Amino acid sequence: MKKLMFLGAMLVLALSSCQKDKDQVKSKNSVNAVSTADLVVPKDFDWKTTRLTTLRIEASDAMFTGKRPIVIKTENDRLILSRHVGMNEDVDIQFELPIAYKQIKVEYGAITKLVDVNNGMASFDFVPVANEERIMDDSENPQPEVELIKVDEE
Amino acid sequence: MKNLILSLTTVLVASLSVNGAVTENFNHGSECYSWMNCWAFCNVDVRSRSYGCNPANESPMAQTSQLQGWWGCYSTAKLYSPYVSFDGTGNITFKHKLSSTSGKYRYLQAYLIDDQGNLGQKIFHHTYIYRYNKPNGNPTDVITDTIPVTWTGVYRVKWYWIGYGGYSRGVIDDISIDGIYASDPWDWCRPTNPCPDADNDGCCDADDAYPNDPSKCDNYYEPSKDTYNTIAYEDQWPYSGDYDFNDKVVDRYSTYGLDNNGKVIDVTHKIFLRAGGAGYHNGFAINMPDLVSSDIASVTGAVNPEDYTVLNANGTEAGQSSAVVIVWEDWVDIITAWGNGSYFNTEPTATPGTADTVTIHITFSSPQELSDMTFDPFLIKNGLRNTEVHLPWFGPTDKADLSMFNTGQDDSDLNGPGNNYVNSANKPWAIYTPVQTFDYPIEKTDIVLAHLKFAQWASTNGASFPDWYLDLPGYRDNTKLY
Repeated sequence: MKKLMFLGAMLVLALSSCQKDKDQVKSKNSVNAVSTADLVVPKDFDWKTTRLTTLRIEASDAMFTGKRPIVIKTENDRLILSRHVGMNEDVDIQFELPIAYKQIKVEYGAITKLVDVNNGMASFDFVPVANEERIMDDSENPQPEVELIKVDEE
Repeated sequence: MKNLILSLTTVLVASLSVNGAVTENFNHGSECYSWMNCWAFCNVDVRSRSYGCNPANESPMAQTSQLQGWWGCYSTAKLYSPYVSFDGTGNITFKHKLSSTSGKYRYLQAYLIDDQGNLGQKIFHHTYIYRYNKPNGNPTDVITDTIPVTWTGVYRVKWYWIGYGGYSRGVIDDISIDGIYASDPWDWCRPTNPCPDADNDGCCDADDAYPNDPSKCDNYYEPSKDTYNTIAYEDQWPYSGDYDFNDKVVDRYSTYGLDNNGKVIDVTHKIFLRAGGAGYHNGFAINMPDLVSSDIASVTGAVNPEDYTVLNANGTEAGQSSAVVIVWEDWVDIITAWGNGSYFNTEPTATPGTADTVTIHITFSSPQELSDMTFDPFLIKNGLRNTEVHLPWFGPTDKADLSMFNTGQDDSDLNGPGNNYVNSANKPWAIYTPVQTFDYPIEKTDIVLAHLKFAQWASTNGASFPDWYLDLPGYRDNTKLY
């Protein structure tokens, strides 16, 4: 009986080895295919190269209530869409995006962000990221009356 | 007249602003949120510290750096409000203090900055410490100050700390400015400008892609502005071809006009036939499966002199349950020069031919959702209106003869969740390159030999090389591309 079980186990192993080899051949054939007819394509592959993508714009409590254009660009700065939005409204913008793109650039005038795209979803808010340019410097203007308050000699 | 312009300007500025008080309590805890409302900082940041102005709940406040000074020079720190439109009434109120009594000199002043960024009048001065003395009491006690607004016009307020010696910081919180918010975060926080809007559609002329058309403000470009992408076909359906995907190579660039709510008013498709590596007299059409014919007001630009298609009065194809637009009935009708090859622009040694760009303009009956603009381009095989060739993830229109499905090599799954227009090994009759125009294989050259990552993309269910169509190192055999 033990011998029979051992032989059975060996047979299963041998068959599974054959299956693995067959898969490897298939995979190799697909990668090095010399014709599309040779290709092994998964039955559920849909051949799509774009995906309907939603950019969710999150409303803020900004005091500015006008509408201004928000601009969506590809990572390499190609313009996809421009749309007027207010800073106080939640907005979903849907558009086709190549599946190969993992990020989009979103610009709201002075506020620019590179946004990740995951499974057709991306989000943007109006809160600027830390940026040295937003630190004001009016040094070119007349300076306040510092000279009237002299530092005493020690 | 000047008064009229001034009044209009005031109205327009007010329309972009908020009436009442401009406030900031820093309770969001981040400079970034303050920046969003056009507050600005220099040697000041937002923190939650035990020496804040609201110690009971320790809510965040703005604090300066340590105002130590160096080598006989003062340290300074600045906080700027957004631009505010003042009318000469109301007050500016705020809480302030020092973090400790340490220091030889400590002052807080406030100034107005005009709409050109120039320093204006001084409106406030407080001395915390003068030569180690505290002339106004303990500087670590919270002081609530009020500045009466006696001026009119658009200004931002600048708080200015000056210090020397020691390590105490300036602290400020709970600022309230009576006036109308007048900064534009979109425009680098400059004062809100008058916003001429010739077509009165709510979009300023300067930002309006259609400044004289009240129905439209913006555009959506597919694939992107001034860029074409490509649909490439094998046209033998339901029989497999040679997979050179050049039987018809059609480039497309679409511009969707959007209203001020982002809905689609119209679309212009520019369609260009780049190659015809087969002899069938194929037509080309666009199905919009999420729309019906009545959603469309008009279609212009179709090339259909062959008269085998029947159109509704609005230019869509008759007898369809979805909106179908014929672009051309026979590709031969748009060729302007044939070249000298056996085929049209697929043989590298032949003189190239040329074709017209067909411009289809579709106006919708009412504003449509952008998500309903599904673009399903298909070939009409050899002038036979009952035979269509679609991309794999689309189905046939009502004009297709369904009895032809699952004949030849076709293995479409018309009633199931699978692809249509694929064979039993899930190979398609059409592919779509989304980013740019497709560099297609030369005549009778299989696509896997020309685009070297195509096979890995398809065999890995799209996981590897989703950008197989790009011109990247190792991606192509250029000798096999037209």
